[in-house]
Amino acid sequence: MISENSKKLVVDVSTLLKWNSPPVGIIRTQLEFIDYLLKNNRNSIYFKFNDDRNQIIEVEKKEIERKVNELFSFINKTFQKTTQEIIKKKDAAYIAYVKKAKFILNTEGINGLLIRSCKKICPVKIKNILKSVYIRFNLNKTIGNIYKNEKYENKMFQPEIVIASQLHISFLDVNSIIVSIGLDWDYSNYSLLYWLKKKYQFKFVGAFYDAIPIVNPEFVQSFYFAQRFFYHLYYLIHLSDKIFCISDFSRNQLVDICVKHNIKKFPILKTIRLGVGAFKNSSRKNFPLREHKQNYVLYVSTIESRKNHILLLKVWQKLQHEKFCDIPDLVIVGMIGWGVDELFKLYNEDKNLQKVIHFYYDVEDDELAEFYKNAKFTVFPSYMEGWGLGAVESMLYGKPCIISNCHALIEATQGLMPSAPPEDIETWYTLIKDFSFNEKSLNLYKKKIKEKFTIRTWNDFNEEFEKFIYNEE
Amino acid sequence: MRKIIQLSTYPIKNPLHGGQIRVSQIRKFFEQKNCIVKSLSLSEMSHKEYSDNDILVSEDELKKIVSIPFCNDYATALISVKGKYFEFLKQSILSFEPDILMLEQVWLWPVVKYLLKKNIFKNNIKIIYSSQNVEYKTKKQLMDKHFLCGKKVEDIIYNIKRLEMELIEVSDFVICCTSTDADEFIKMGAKSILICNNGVDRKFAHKDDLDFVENILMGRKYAFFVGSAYPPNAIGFWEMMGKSFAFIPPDCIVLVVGGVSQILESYMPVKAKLYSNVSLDRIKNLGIVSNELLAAFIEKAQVILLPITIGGGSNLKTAEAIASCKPVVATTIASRGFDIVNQLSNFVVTDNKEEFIKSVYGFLDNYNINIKQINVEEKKIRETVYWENTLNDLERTLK
Repeated sequence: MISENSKKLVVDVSTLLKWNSPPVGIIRTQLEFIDYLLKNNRNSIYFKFNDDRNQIIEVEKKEIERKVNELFSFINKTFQKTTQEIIKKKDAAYIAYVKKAKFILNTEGINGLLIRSCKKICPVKIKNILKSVYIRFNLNKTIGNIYKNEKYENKMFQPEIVIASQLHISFLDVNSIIVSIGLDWDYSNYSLLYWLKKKYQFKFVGAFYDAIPIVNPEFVQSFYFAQRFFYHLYYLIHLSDKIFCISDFSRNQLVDICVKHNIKKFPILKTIRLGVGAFKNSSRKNFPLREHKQNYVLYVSTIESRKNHILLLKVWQKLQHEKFCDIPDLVIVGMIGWGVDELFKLYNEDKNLQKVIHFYYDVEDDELAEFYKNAKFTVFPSYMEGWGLGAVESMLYGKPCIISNCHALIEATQGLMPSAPPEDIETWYTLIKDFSFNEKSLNLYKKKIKEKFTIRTWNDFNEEFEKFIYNEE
Repeated sequence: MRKIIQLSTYPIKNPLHGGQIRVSQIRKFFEQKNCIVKSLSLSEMSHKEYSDNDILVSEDELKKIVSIPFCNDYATALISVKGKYFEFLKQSILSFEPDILMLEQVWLWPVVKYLLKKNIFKNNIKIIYSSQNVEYKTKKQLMDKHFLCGKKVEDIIYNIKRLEMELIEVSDFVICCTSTDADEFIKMGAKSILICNNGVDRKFAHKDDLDFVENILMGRKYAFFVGSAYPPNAIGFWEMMGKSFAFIPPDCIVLVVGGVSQILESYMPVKAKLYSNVSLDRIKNLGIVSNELLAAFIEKAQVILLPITIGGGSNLKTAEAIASCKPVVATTIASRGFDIVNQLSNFVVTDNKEEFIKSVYGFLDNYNINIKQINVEEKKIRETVYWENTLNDLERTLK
């Protein structure tokens, strides 16, 4: 435990306060750590950025406590739709959007399109879009018009160095340690923090989850996001005194980036592995009626191109083609992301696949626990991960997980699970077939988990992270 | 009293880019030697100020003659013997009755060639080819950099070489900027060569301008790059500074001044786009600034960048950097013609990108580099780059 310290912890909770979905991944990490601080009565100060990200606002402890409780008890009641319904709705909305944009472009030109678009979306997005447009095309006149309309005339492009010189933040001083481990590329402003750090001389501790947008920009939703992410990373490195990395793999990636880009500033890096917790048991018995049979394989992750669901569809096609008896169903649980057109095209065009593969987007934690408990085994064929929480959760429930051979997944599963290259359908087919029809083989891995798998709790993570924050290294 | 005509493809009223400054300084030199100088030009319309001795030609017209990029100068050569352009140049030259015809670069040679054939000049007229680099070689490098090749491009390069050869053959003097260019011109048949390197005017920053620079910087340190909107300037910048500017910490920036700042982004390599949010955050493009402000920016810079990777001749900006006594990181091409750089402190010459970046960072942030004080002796060496010293040999053309 950390003794009373002259340093005061100042925590950026911007991400948490903005989040209104189930707390997974980065949000879960932030949530667990803040919950730990609250429960252990740490004398922390909490703050958030305003929507324009040019102001820092102190947040009352009560507000944080309310949000933490809300996220822990998050129940998504509204989202119960079938795969087809979701896809149809998304397509229709997209077509309508493109049609409208084309019409405005034809009638009012690029200025019109920009002004109309900006009125529809929130100020933060306006700022981001305008910044990029401003840089790209130097459209002073257009942007001038939007300013006047949207009352952002003075603040919008004021450089952070100027804003920092004008801000007075009473709770920041040389004894402060700012901790920020959220979706900071979206909700924080590291450039402003950098200049505030120069002014107040505080310490900064950040987090590095993975470098996927930089190393594999093809796996993120847009090139613009990859550019923005690199900007975030640049400031993370230059702003931070210490950075915790979620795996040795991600830590090495960060070192590689610094070397590749000739960055001489090097914060203290430490791998602190994330915790994992069993999902709450619920007395609830009235789970939604599901279509899959008792014998099933589970894949829990967001549904996006990087996660490589398409490989599984192809493996199941092959299993069907070989006419095995009692092929397990494949249950896919996760929020729908981007870059999945090809996946759903394949799925929608193959009626046989639809009989054995089931997508669920509305699974709550208690039902997910049931899914894990009853699964035959799980799969995680992702191309690239910073950690791979889904695979660890699977092992927590004693279920072997076939993983892709990306470094972080091997690290997260402690080298205990079978792996295969994410593009190698044949090997995946062999492994899945083996686990599906050869109990001996499956039991061997179950035994491995029982005997060798070390469970790391969120409390373990929180304690190690807190120590890292305070310790002079 | 000698009468001299200078022929160029740009006006020299309010000279801004290197070529303009050189022509204007040569004019100044001859005027100081009691010559009457008339500066004639066939100019594109992209310049801001003109005199009655300039005739303008639109880019569209030039493109109709040669549509291949980066060939407006060659197109000017072709159009110079046509219609109103020829009439203007011919009348202006003949009415002046010059003793010396000085061609700044090779482009207006076709006009002079035509007039020489007509035998209408004074018998003892002197022809001087005032070169800035070996044109056909520079053009080839530029084309290669942009992957422009094929028969048409080869023909253009061949024709430019022919223009240069013809002009060299009739020239009483060939003036060039570097000894490398001199060697090349001798091979091409030059009879008499004068090496007059590019130079710089003495500049002093005013307190108001220095205060202004300090105000906008707000404590940030900067590397300084100044150049015209000449594509090799932008190409060299990206080539030597790399795809990512993440090596420059947030409290340092790269200040870019001059026409090059307007074309820099369009020359960003495709592979640099991923890192462009950082790079464009580090690079501050200030456009064209007054000479007074320029002097202030140089005065306050931590390091001056000279990242030229193609082209011949010598660089005026190098002279400016040498005279400033500031730390400099330059390529060998940028320092060509200035042999004295080997004797200078805090002057790194390298064509290795890693080394270039390392030196920029070193000077910028005082990292792993020892910045030396410049003594009186070295200051004297640096003074050799002032125009008053570099153009001295021109006097021989008057004898």
